[in-house]
Amino acid sequence: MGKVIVVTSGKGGVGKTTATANVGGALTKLGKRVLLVDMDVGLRNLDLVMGLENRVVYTFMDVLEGRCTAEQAMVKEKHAGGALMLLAASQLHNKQDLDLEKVKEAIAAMSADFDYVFLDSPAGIEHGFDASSAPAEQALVVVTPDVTSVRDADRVIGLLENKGVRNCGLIVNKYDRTLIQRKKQLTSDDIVDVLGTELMGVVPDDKAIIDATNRGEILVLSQSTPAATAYMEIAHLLEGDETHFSALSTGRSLMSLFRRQK
Amino acid sequence: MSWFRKATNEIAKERLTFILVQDRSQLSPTVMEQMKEELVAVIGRYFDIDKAQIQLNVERQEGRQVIETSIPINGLRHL
Repeated sequence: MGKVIVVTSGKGGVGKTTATANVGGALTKLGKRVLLVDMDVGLRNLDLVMGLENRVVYTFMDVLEGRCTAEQAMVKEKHAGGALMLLAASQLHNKQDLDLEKVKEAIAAMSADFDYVFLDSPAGIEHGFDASSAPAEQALVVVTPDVTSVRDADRVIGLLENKGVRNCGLIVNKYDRTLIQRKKQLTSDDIVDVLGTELMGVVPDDKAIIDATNRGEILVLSQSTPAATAYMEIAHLLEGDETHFSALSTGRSLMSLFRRQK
Repeated sequence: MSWFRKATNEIAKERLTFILVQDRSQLSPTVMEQMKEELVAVIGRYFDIDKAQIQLNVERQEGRQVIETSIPINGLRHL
């Protein structure tokens, strides 16, 4: 049975879908088999981020309602040697149509064929979030260094804990070292401090992400830019390889060196 | 004179810390105040306490919400 992990945030636009695609992609580079499930029924986007929008025939809803098998609905990503699969969300339904028990059952059955199943949650804390977190044993909470995102993340972490998902890891996304240097942005330490949740990674604000999304490529599978490196570190951490944790703090010590020189 | 002003990331952290306490407690400030009053009434029967210095916080520790209170005692009440 693979690990089932929900990727969530509360607030929209913080990079959940990009994070899902890249953490998943990074794990395939470590030899893992990974399934990414788009749980954003009615507003699907993971297919577009992965460049698979023209290849989606069946959706997760079709699987849940018995119109096809899970295997028929999964779409293979092109650059991961067959190790990365997408299960798209239906555009023709809405989130209320997700039956929690059926979702749990289907995800549990599919997880047998993978090392990891990531559930890309919709923004918000309503039914779509409930359906995404119900099957999960672990959560990655994506947060950007601003007060609104951190506040929403706190609410989401509280709700996850109430649902019994106690293993929550933070991904601090769109981290801008220039702003940090000028003391104009919350640091990852501040965020960890306030949220009291384990840090899984800090992803720098990297223009290469935009290019990759424009092209429909997953950054970690096509380039090695700073954001790609950060996603690889997260994958190592998920795999329990603590040695890569030092790489996380390197950024901070480099920063303080820089400040001293000024 | 912008160097006299507090860095905005510090302001952000302070505001966040404050609002999260309220969010986490899921109790309105009025209810929190009422709870404080009731605690003072009960504990005040046994101890002479410093009402002005009472702190009541809802925090997250090891995956659960915890109410932390700090009530300074001036002395015992002679019952």
